[in-house]
Amino acid sequence: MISIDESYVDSAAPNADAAKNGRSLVLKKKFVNLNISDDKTILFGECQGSGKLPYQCSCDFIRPGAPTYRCNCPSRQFPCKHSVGLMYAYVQNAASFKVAEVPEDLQGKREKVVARAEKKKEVQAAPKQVNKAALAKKIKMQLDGITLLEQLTVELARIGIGNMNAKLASTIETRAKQLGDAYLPGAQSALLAYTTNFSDGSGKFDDKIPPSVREAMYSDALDQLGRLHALVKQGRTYLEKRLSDPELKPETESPIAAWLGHAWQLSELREAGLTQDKAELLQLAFNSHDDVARREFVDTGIWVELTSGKVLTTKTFRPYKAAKYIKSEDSFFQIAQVPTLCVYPGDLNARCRWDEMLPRPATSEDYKKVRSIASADFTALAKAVKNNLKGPLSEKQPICLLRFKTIGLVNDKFVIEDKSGNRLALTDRGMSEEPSSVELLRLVPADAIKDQVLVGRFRHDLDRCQLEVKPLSIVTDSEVIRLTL
Amino acid sequence: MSIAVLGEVYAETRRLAIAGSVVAPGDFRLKKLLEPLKKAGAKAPVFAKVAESVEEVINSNDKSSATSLLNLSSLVCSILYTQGATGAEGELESIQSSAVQAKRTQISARMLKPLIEALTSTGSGRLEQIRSAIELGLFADLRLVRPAFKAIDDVYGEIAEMVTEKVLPSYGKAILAELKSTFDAKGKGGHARRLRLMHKIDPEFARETVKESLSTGSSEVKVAAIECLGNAPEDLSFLIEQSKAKAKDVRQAAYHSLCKLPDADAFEVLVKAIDGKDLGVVRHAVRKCKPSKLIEVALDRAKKLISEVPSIKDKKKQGDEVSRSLELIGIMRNEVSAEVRKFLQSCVESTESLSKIKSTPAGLDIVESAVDALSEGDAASIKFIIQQRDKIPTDCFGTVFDAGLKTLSSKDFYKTFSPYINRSAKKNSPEFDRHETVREGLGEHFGYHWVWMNSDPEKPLDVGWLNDAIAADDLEMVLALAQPKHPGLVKYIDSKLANPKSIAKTDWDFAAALIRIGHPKATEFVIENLTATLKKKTNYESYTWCYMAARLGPDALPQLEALAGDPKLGDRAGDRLVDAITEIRERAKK
Repeated sequence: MISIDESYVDSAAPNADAAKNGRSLVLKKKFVNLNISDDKTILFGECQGSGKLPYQCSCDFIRPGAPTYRCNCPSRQFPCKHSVGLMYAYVQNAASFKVAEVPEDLQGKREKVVARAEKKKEVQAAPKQVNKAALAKKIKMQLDGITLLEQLTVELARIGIGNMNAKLASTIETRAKQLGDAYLPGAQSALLAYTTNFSDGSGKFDDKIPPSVREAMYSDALDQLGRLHALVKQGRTYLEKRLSDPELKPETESPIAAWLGHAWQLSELREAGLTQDKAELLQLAFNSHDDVARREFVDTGIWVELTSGKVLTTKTFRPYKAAKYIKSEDSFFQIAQVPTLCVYPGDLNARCRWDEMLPRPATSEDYKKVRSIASADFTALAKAVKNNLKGPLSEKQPICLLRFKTIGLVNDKFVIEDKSGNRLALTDRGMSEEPSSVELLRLVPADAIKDQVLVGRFRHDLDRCQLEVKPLSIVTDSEVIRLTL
Repeated sequence: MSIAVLGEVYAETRRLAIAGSVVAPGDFRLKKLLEPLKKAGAKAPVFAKVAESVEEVINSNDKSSATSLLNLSSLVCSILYTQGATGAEGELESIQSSAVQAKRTQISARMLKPLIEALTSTGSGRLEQIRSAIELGLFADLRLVRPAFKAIDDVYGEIAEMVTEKVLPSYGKAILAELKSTFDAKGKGGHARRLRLMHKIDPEFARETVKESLSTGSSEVKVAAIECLGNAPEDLSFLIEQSKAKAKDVRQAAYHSLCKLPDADAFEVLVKAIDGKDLGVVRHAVRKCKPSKLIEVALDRAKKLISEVPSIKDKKKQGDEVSRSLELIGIMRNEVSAEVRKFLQSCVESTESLSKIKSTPAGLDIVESAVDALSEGDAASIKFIIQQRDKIPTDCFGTVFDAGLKTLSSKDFYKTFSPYINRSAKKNSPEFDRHETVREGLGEHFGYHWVWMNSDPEKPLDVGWLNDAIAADDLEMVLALAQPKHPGLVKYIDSKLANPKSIAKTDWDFAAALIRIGHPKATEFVIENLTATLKKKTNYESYTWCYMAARLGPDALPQLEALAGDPKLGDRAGDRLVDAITEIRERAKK
């Protein structure tokens, strides 16, 4: 049985235009055939396009949490407007779909999907076959890449942060490409993140930055240089260890594999046991920002898993060149019920992914759960955050849930206080991924700044040796008040 | 733990990293820190480790200095990360929350992003997007406060003004700090808007900034600052001084603020301006705030002037004096006291004598201006011009008609103005002009299909108008006045439908009337015309018919959907039809 509604189709569309075009196709009666299978698990039809023959599209709900969309149109958007339109046609008038036999070729594809899903399960159970020679070759290339990264890092330290110029930035950016060729895209991004410190909004080296502003960048640049240095050290140790034993699985205790650019497959995460069954997630904040260093748009969702109480993140990377074809994520206001949640290695705010999800409305019980999960002792929380920060490759701006007694002002500066009177300063300084939010605290309802839960992003300011928090959202008993986008 | 020494090590490491590691070997500042580190190392091993690392940097050479410096920086940073200070000493004050009402904090990113883009970028189509967001109340979402704030400097002045007038004041005192911190007295329009907004939200808060802007502000900011004055007696001398400024906008702002001061000197300046060359400037300045004494002065001067004008021989001088009389009447507008009314009435009653003044502007312009002023006045004023309708110039008849429409009951309005419908009047005669004024007036208020579709008339017209139009077979008028449940109208319309040639020229108005009265053939008529238009593929016609179609009831949906599904339909027309269908569906949902 297919149980979808308009909001489901809205969120399934890759972007607002695709949703509008999908609706339009229904109204323009472009669907010449609307069918549903006897067992009510697949919608299939034909949609008239600009060509002679109509497009054949289908929405297969044989796996309700992970539907399969198919269409023979040339669009690279997924699902395309024809599949989206097919779903709109169904939610608007299910009676217009005739029960029909699933065409042979489509049935074949469905069987393949089922077989693939079963095979996946088998593969998950069986150990993965590794081409040792190829892996060893790849690791050697990665080690060469690490040597290159070391040379560049040492060179940058020798020249000095203050002597960075457009020519040098350009040279570094060119050489960073070699790291990509050496299967180290993560290291490449880390290196580019160093040069991005000195760039303007478009990613080009900005030589017109006044010295006073430039001075403020130096601490971040030094921190990034230290991170590159740590990446060289830890990366080399990790790769040498893997080279000596090609069967060694990617590191799961630390995020070093991801730092080097390892693209974790869900199967790998499952194999490594980095999963949680029957997870329920509530989105606390969402932002979409332009990562100039990576040349990608990054959609980041910040979630709390209601059973474990962990704050996790989802990330969708949309490279500039393919941004149009990749589904842009959106805010999610319901509870995501995930049968198997895969969590990446890492301590705080590990990245998570899933391939099947069913939504359900959020209730006050869910918000109360968040309240019970949040840290009510800021001293203990700050200690835990500091311990995490000291690792050179750890998440430098972790997000935590803070159960506060009040938010107020001390010497005109925003402060959050727990029930024992421990305080943390609130700031926007140095956290530009999300728009500034502190001043918005003056605009929230008065009861939202008393005895609630704050979703905050921590940051240690090296120059002032201060640990501060940026407010992202406030969770009350009945809602999440989002302060950022 | 001795954080101070670690802080120093970090500062020195940072300095060397900025300068380049080549200068690190043997660095004397770093050397100085070695001893205290070693001492601290005896108690805490971590300091010994730092000391070791510092020593390594000092003893390094050109080749190894970079690695040594990076090792030291990593170590120090790691330690400092565990030492971040938290807390804030001092008394905790509560936040003066000026909550943005509404619970609209849950707007999705897909909805919010385009709006933020519209507020923070440039390009066409943004004004409508922002206006519709204001109507939908989306600005109650906290996350729009900053983008809206940014729009105060929008290059498109209309957007900046709209956001400043309609959006930002709703955020109240919460945005004052930011308004002040981003205010630049030397700035242009955006900063003048900031100052006015600060003054509007909290005049006391803005007071100091206003005063500073008077001396240091750019011309635009200065004008805004002068407009914000007038609430304190100390402003007087400055305003008097500014009333003599060379720039007209500065003088106008000064007069505007002087009106707020209940001071004899301020009044004297305004009187002097009225008697001098600045009469027009004062008229603009007093639009929002007029002291009653000033009205008395204007009245006095106007009376004197109008009595003298007929005897002036020089036409240019006569024209100038008439022009001054018009400015003085302008000052009296919207403030019709018994005295003022009496004066204005006397102007109307003197139509005959004033019509003899043929200067530019002429004497009749005074009558016209007086009628305009009376039409905006109290019931007695309006009653007067309605009574005088046959005596006043034909050019003013439209004003009287509008005033009657607003104030008279439907029955009285019909009784008063229906006799002017004279279909046999000769062209260019006063009777014809009045007849046309009434017809156009009725058409403008009730008939034109764009108008009635967008807004409902405030009160219905007397049915006598429609009866007369049907009796006279005045189709245009019937369509303009068509109203539901009229016994003879359906029959009349049906007779026209039976003879399509008779309605060919009025098909849009005809369709509008059918929809308006809920005629059973409305859908059929619109669909028929729409289908024919879509076949012709003329852009404007298809636009208009789709607009009509959007006003049909849900019963029209199947036919419209069938049309939208026509494979031969052009893309643009198809999109318009889809929009019309969506509109009907949305309306039906509500």
